[in-house]
Amino acid sequence: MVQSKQEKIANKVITVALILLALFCVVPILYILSASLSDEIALTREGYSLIPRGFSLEAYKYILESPKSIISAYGVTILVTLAGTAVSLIVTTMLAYVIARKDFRLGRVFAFMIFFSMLFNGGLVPTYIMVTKYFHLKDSLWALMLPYIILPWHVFLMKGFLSDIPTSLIEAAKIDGAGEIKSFFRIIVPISKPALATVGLFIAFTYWNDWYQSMLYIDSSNINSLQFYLYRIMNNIQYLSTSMQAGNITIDIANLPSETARMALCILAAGPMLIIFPFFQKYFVKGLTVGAVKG
Amino acid sequence: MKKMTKQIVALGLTGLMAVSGLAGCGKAGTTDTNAPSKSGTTNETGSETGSADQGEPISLKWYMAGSGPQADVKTVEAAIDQYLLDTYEMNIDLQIIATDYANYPQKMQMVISSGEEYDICWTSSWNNNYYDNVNKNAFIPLDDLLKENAPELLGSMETSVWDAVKVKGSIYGVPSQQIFPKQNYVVIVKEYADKYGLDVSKVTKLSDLEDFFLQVKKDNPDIYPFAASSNGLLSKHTLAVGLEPIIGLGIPGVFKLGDESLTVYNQFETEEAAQFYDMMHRWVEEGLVRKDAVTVSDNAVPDMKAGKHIAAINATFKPGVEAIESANFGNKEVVFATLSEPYLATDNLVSSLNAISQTSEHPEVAMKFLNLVNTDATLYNLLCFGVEGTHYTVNADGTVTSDDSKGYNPNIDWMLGNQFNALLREGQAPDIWEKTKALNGSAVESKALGFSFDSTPVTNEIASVSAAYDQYGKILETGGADPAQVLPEFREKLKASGADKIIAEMQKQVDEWKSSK
Amino acid sequence: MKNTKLVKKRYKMNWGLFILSLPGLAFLLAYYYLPLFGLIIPFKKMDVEKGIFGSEWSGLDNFKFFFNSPDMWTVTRNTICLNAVFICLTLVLSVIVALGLFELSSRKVKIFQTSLFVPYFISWVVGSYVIYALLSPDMGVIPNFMEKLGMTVPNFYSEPKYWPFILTTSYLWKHVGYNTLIFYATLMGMDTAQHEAASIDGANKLQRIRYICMPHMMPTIVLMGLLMIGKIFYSDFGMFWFLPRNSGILYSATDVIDTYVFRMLRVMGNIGMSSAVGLYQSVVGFILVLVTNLIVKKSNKDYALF
Repeated sequence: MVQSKQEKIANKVITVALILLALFCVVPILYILSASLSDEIALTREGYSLIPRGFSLEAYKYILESPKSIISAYGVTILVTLAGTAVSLIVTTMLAYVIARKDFRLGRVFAFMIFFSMLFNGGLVPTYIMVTKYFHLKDSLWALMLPYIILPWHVFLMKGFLSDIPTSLIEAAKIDGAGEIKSFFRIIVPISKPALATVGLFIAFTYWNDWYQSMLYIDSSNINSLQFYLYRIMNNIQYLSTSMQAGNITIDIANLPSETARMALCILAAGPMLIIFPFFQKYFVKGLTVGAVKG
Repeated sequence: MKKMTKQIVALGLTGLMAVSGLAGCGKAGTTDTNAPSKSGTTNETGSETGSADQGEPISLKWYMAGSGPQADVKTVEAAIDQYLLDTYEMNIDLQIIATDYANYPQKMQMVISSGEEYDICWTSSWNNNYYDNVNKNAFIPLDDLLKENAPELLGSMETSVWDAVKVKGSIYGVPSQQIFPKQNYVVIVKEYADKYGLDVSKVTKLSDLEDFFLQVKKDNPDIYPFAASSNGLLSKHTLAVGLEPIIGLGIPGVFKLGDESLTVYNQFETEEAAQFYDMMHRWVEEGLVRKDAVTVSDNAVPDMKAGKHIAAINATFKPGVEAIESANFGNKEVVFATLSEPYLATDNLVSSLNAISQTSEHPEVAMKFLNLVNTDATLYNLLCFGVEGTHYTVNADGTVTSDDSKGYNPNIDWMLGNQFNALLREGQAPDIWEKTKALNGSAVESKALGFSFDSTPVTNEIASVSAAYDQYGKILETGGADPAQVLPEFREKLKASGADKIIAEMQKQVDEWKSSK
Repeated sequence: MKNTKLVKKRYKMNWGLFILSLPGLAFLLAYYYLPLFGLIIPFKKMDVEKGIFGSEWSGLDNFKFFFNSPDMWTVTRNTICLNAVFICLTLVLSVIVALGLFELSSRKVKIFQTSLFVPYFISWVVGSYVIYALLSPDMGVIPNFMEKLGMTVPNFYSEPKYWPFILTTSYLWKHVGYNTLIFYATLMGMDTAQHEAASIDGANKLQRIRYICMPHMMPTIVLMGLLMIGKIFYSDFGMFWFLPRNSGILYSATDVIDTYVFRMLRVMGNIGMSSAVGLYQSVVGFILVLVTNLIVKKSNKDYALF
């Protein structure tokens, strides 16, 4: 394609605007990074800056001093994220494909059912009862993995993508004599790579960022997820510094992790996902669907 | 599948255990609570429970708060199980489930409302609310259990203490013995007190410090002498201004100290509170307090360490407080002035309790276990510090050193049981517990000690005023808003939220309680 | 004749598809439908001894605390208005950014997308430290900068008027990357041949966006909009709770249903009362979506959610 002069200028404008937006998103994390590398006293005295105040690795040393918990937390999170994403992506895609098919009799009924469950839920207590008393999942990795296998939001997102598949393609598969299940795995899945990559990424993020299931269902310290590890420390400090405690009890706040250590934890928790991100991006390729039809 | 079989076996066994448990083990403790009765407890009925060694142990599930699960809790549980088996022939399988303070209320709400089986949980007036749980029938009454299974524990505290934790006539929780009375104080960095010739012995109220603070501010414009944070100030200072909150500072309803008639006031309408708000606002304008104090987290400790503040107030003066405050101020030397008498009210006794669940399959065993936790120092210290050598080390002077990297350092002695049995931490004076006991004994008792308010008739109003307090209370206490303008608005909001109804209900219940006494 | 055949075909049960949907439906049943018995909790006076079903009915008692509270209207207004602004701006901005990215080379896209996603991994607790570092009157980056320029510096933490703006910016900061990726992926699925043909016909960039890209993205935009409307009565609790840092004076602008109820029940936790508010939020959101969906259905059946 030949670019006109006008288009070149337009491209420049877009690039500059996006650079500004990217900075807007990235600068705050640079503050966090810099804070995690700062000296604690200097940070409190002078406030945050983009260049660490009195460079110090004390915060990271503090966290890695007892690496046992953080290593096992990484292990749990990585395992749950990998396994959970794989299963969830398959199950979500199958369900989404079914409701995306306009010729399916129960499509709208199912769509409504999924939507209904997105808004109405029995609340936490009944879910807790089901998970602990009937599914017997308390204190196991399953309790972290299973709740997010089907999230209505992901199903609808996937449905949105799959609705783009031309009907002609499905018809063609039918003429070939392939059954629905076969044509789903042989044709639909391969041509939906960008959709799978996107939703897969979102599912992975859901697992990675989750702390709530750990809080509710995990009692043993060795199956806590990374985010819960971080969240626990952050929120505990926040709670202790705002809730009214009974006056005669003094909880020793001075011993809790310092602000610099908390920032370091945040960096350690977010880092790996940002490295993984570009791997998914190779699946974002233009016009895959069409190529498949033509081929 | 394996888990389920285990559960079925456990269920079958619990029935057996409960029966044998009734027969009682560990009955024969000495009445002297401070001497752990290690040898004298092999009991007469030992053979009955003794048979338990061959069988499956009774599992005891204990929910508690803290900083979160400890990495090496399994080792400690095993050590405790072994110790109980060896010393008391009690065959239990203890499961400690620790959650952080922030998530604990929510987690317990799930556990309790779902009817999950567990045995003991920590509860208090400020986290996992004791009264709310009792209203929900979450706990069982302990009066008879205590008499039968825990006479030493029952005898270790005065009747007035047990009376104070009663709700509707029954005891539902075992208070953890520790410092009970509150005594408000102010702490000042010594270096500044000396430099500006402040005589702390002459300081009796907070306003006495204003001139001193102004001098400090004049010479050090970067310093905000008086520390304030999002936790507010008044809750640490109620006794000093002469008020005794009934449920907590955030809910209208206080007695005035020394008021024999026990009239209930709305604290936010009192002159005492108004004066405090005025003073704080003046201090903000004079630069003695940060103007954005209400947004400061971590109780301003990092700022204190960094030398931005040189004085702070707190609710409870207690032996050993010097070390804590000095650490808060970056290990600088500090001086104190107490601003009130040591004072004991109901709320101070429900600040840390352990209760037995309605769903517990073997409450007798749980009660016996709690008895031992509160009376046997060895067991208690296993819980607090873990295993010697593995989780902590004993220094030459008998104090202990522990740190997080060893895998067990919950640092919640005051939550678990009788703190007077605790080993001394590094830096604690040898006579700390003697002094604390003396302070407990010398406290002025509230005229309403033992009265607890049943909030069920005014639940909706309490919810509304809680929100109103959060909105206005803390910003007024930390001087961030002009009381002339905001206080009337606050009072208006409280009225609209039903503060008067709460006060009337409190007065009614207080009067009934008084006449029944 | 032809017509009836078509109808028959549509109404014939497609068992292959049905089987494909089974695993998903099973999870839906286990995690969403079975726990629905909890919808009775708001109408019960909880008693642990008797269990959820055995507890006494309490009528609408659990709803009263919220509907009688003096702030109910303020927090409902804040919730709806702020969320409406969030929904509109997130959609508009994400679509624009996605279109922008679509025009760029793939290497640049990688860098931009990764940068835009950074905030998604920052929890609001940590976010609140960053915002504080930017805005605190004492050492904040922005107040210091304004001071240098000789402007009068407001105390952001005591003036509610700035907060709708601060909250919106923070919300966009965190969510634009996520939503952009959705629209970008949608554009990826577009027929490139169409684009090339248009370009040969001499259509300029804006025309291509208007006549090719937008119609292609429309179903996704509508879908996202509908889903977001369903949650309009809920809010991102972490953001509203942590960012204003307990500065009560800001509550007139920052308090939403979730934070307000959380504060109300902080002293006396009550599961019945909190479930009651949850039910109210769900019902209203549900009605809103039903209505919007109906409107959408009228204009284009394929865009509708169900």
